[in-house]
Amino acid sequence: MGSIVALVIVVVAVVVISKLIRIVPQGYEWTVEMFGKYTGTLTPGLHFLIPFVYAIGRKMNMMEQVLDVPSQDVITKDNAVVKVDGVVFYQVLDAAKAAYEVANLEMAALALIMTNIRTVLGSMDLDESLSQRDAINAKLLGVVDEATHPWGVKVTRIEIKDISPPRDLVDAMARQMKAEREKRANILDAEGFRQAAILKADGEKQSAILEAEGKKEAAFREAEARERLAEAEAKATTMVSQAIAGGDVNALNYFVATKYVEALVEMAKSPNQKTLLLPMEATGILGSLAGIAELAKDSLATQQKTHDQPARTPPLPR
Amino acid sequence: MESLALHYLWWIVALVLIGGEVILPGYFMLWIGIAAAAMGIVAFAVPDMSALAQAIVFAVFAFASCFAYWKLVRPRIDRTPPGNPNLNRRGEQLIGGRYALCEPIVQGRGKARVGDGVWLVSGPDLPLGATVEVIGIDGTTLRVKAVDVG
Repeated sequence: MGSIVALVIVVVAVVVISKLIRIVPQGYEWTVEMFGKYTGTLTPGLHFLIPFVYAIGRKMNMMEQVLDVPSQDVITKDNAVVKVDGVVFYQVLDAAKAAYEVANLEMAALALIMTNIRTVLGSMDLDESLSQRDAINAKLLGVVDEATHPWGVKVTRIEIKDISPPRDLVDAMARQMKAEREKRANILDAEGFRQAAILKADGEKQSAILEAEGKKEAAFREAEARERLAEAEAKATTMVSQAIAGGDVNALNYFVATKYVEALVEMAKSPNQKTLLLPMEATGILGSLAGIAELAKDSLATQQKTHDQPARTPPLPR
Repeated sequence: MESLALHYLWWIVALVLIGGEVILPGYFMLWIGIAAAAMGIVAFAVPDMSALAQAIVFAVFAFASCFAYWKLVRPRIDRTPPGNPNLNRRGEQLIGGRYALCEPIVQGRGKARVGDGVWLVSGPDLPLGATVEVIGIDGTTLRVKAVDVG
């Protein structure tokens, strides 16, 4: 009997001592209740609590925690239904408030965040909601942080993870983007053609102008050349006439005779052997030759006057 | 012989408890182990104690070892500096920091931008963009005072 009592005493002592000594791990705070009423909070470390009087109420996690916001359907301002999910980071700063001010902290925070996501996205149209994540996050954080304040909870950040419009809407968006790009491409093409045509026309215009200028220049020069030629002819004529005036008429005969003979040679060379053109008066040539003889005589006579030495005359052709 | 075995038994229990303290979570076996070791010494000194007396003495020793630690040893240990008293206390970590208001303080309440987040602040009414210094924290609200930048 005594040994049973002894065993009971030992067991009770062990149990009581196990309840007397409390170790709160780092990252947690435990609330203490005295007969069910909150009296204080145990911070991390070793604590002695008198059993039967004090009891541990709630063990609050004081570390920052992540809460997944499940996907939900939200209707945007322009009546598009999108699926939205996200994550929330929060940290309990006041263990007592978080333990007693709200019955189910996680559920409450989640409900609050989900309804606020609907509110914020409902005030935006689809394009805005897809492109303004930061604004959405900031708005949500502002509202939710304020609301969780009485619960001793600090919501540090809310991130919208995914905003996914329904399949057909995504297809339409893709089509819209494609059309937009094609439009830009076509516009650029047309622009290119227009530029090219303009450049081409401009080139043609320039070349026509240059050509005309060239022609004009050439004409000017040609005219000038003709003028010069005429001038030269006139000069030559005057020189010849002067020579005739100052000399003998028979000098002319010399020129004519040489030309005459040259023309005859040319005719003889002609590949068309059937035609041999003879001057109507063959004697004309001889006449011109006689003219040359006359010329020679004259010049010889003048030479003998100057040098009294008879010049040898070449035999005349007969 | 039996008494010999008895005080040996107490010591074995003591060793098992102290060993278990290392292996198992919790933090109470050490004291009970110390009490068992002391009980072993008593059993060695007073060989023919009844089991009931032994149990009572053991229980008394167990409580005594706890209280001895609580009242005598722990105050000395606690004088050693803790690692970082502000660990897991985000609000306290901000005390002494200077931040800009992203919402003016009206009726004693406003918001300040801290890092990439926003904290509720309470303090004297100040305009938007004013710099404030954190002097304390109530729950999730930072108590601030105005700072003259200049």
